[in-house]
Amino acid sequence: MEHLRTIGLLDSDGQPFRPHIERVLIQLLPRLRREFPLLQDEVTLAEVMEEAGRRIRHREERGQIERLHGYAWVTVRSIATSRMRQGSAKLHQKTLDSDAGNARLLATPSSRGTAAEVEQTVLLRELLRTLSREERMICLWKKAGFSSQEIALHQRRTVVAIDTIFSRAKQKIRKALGIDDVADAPARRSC
Amino acid sequence: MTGKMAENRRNGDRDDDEIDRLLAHANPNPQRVGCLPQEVLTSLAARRQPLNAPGYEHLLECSECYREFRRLQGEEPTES
Repeated sequence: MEHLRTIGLLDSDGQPFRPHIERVLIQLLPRLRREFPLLQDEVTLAEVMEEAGRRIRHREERGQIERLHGYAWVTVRSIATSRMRQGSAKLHQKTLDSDAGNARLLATPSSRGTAAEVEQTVLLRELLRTLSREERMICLWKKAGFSSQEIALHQRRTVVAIDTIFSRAKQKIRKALGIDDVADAPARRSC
Repeated sequence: MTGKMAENRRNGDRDDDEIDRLLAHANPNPQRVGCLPQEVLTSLAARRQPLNAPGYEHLLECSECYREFRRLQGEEPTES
């Protein structure tokens, strides 16, 4: 949760939310964690909160929300519930049982490499597919040596947004690879 | 590149080793289908191409080209 506080929540244009929206979302984080204990992934939590922030901002364009805290919680809960359904459905669709998994591995064409290497390749490929196209491109451009500023200019986003996307992509990869991520310092700004 | 810049880049790369590992091994292309000519890889490695150059898309799809690209940058991707 501390991580989300420091990384900040961004609107779809890469800008921070207005303070009163961000404040109410941060206040709801403990409740979200408590009522949706399966949503432990910081990236998913941030995505839920950011989607809620966007919906609240959109709603506020039509007029002030009288009970913002309550409205925000209903929004967050709705998105989280939807994520849980999507997540479990996707996982169910993509998960093979052990026999089917072995069959898939045996059928994977390979002119060289051990079964373990083939398995590793399949896992890495699946992991890469979990990143969005933009996340993949930003990772590659970073490895190519482009600065966040250069990438931000090209993508018409802010430097903070680029750093945040990059940081979250690394988090996703590290989490999937089982690498401890505590020491990583994402793009930080005060909330 | 100055010594300090090179050092910063090395530190950054160490921080991003898992990205290297992913791109260097996730997309084997042993038949080298659609691979980039050496001069294009050299140009990409030297950042003489713009960010929207199509070669970068290929690097995301071909681990062989990505490893060669990293080698040309003077970096060896992390072993799988």
